[in-house]
Amino acid sequence: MSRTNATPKTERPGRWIAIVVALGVLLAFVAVLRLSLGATGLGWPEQTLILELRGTRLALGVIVGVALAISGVALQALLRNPLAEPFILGLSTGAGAGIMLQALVLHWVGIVSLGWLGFRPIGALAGACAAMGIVYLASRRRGMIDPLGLLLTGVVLSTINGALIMMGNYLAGPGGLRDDLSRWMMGYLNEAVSGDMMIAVAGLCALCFTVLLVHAFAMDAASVSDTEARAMGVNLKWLRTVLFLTAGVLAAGAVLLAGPIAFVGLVAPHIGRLLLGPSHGPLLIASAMIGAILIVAADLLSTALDLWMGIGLMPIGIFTALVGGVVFLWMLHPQLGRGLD
Amino acid sequence: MRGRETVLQIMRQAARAHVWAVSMTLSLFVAAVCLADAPKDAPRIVTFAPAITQMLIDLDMGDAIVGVSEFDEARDATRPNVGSYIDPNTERLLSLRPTHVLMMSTQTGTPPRLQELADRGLFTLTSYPYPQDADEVGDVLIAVGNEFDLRDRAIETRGRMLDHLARIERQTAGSDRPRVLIAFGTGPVWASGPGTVNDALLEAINADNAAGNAATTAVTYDREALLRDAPDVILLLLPGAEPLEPNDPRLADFAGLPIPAVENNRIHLIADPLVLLPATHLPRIAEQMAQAVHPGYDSQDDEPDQRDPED
Repeated sequence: MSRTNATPKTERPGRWIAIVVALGVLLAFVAVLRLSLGATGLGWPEQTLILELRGTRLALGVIVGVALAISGVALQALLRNPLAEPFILGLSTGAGAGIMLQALVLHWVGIVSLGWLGFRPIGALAGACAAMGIVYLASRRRGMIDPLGLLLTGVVLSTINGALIMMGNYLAGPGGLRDDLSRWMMGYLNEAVSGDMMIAVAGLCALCFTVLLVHAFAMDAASVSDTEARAMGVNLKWLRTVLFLTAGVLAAGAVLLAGPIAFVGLVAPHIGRLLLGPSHGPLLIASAMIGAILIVAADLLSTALDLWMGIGLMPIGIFTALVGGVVFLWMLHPQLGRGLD
Repeated sequence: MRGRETVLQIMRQAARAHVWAVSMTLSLFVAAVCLADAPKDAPRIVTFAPAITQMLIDLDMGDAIVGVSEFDEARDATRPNVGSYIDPNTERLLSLRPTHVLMMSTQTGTPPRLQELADRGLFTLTSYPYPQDADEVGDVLIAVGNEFDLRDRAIETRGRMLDHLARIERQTAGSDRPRVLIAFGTGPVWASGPGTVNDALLEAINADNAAGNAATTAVTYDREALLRDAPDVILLLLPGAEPLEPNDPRLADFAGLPIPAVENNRIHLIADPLVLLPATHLPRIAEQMAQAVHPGYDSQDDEPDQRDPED
């Protein structure tokens, strides 16, 4: 048995503080860039209104990025699986199915036509909460969340939700609802969302972040084995419930503001671990910043491409999936083949 | 005697054979005439393009349509649904015994399944180019008319359509030329760019396309881009949509923006079921656009040149 004398990354406070400060500087840089670039051109906006519009998108990006990233950290700790990400719970597809079912039901009872997609947040929130509730109830064994059961239920529920979305798509016909939902599923920052909702999601984000920080030590202990975690005084039942609820609420909030955006919840914690090691306190802080940087940078790229090529705003979900996927493969590469040893 | 009987027998056999041959020839001739005449006299048409359905209706060929694609906005609801051209319901299609299957070409070309059935001689498959403006709609209309020996009627219909558009153009020519954004989706806003039928219609009603400088035909807008392009009028093209109401969620993308269209309350909904189809009803859509864009516009629809699809 070999032992290493190297100090773990997160046991060197100077190092992780330096990295967090560096990430803060990078986030500030990206934020200033985002505020300096928009459809009206490059440069710090002279009109207050334009600054306000860019600021809204920046705030949306930061909230969505932070929500997805720390939701990913919570889920990876809960499932002890580095491949876990928020949407594995079926929340994004649940939100999509919620929108579709809401529109179809309202249409069938004669309230609206299928081209009408009002109250979208309500359908999305109801769908995401329903998915979370089903996954929670189905994965409980003897009053405690079973990580494997959670994973399997989430995957199966995603498939069922996908089928519901396809059914709704078929019944809705072309144009209107189908087109709107297709674009929503690509992942856009939704500027039309009300200020109250933004504040509500930001507040929930802050609350969940604080709760997770408080449980950071328990998350560290739970990342080894149930026996060791219990020996260290961790109440696993409570911890898993907290992790599940915070991850679900954060993912639902992100879906409300930007639709389903892939990979940020997976990649941000991995980059954080790469920089700071596995300790959940610093990891939560770093991941939140990385998540925000990724989303704001994706929005920046989308805006820059529009200015440069005049192609309109591409969905940021495309960039996060493309860039996040490639980065993840690069990070995963050293691990590939270890299962054969 | 024996020789004579033999000769008579041979003659009888020859006569029988002759009668058989004559009757066969006559039968084949009649069958050939029937087969040759069948498509001409009673075409049985299946359309995989709603715009073609509308053109056939305008050519008084609506009764010849025996099947339509799913979600055909221009269809008679009683017509059987033969699926989409990507995934045709071939069993239903063949059960309708179509003589003609019509579609509009796409980037993927003619679907192999339909082409294979057409190659077996089960029907004539015709694919028309997707039109980008009224002239091209007219070209497709003439081509459809040629297919069914209705060239004169097609030319007449095209003439009426283009004349109607020309009248609208003349009527709006002297008025101000506002910047108009044509949105066919919200949350986020999706607008018609250059090179589209909508772009051509805006030109016809003397208006500029606010998204006319985009490099793509469908442009996504954020609020800053709306502010940059500052349209004077916004037209929401949402087929079959409910009327707009105050605080309508479909207007959330525009709410509070200091652009002329919002400040002057000039966001209009055009909910005509055929509003997104490139077909012969374009003057009707242009009329609705002109009325929304130019206050005080007098309708040029003095002769009802389009049939309502519900008729």
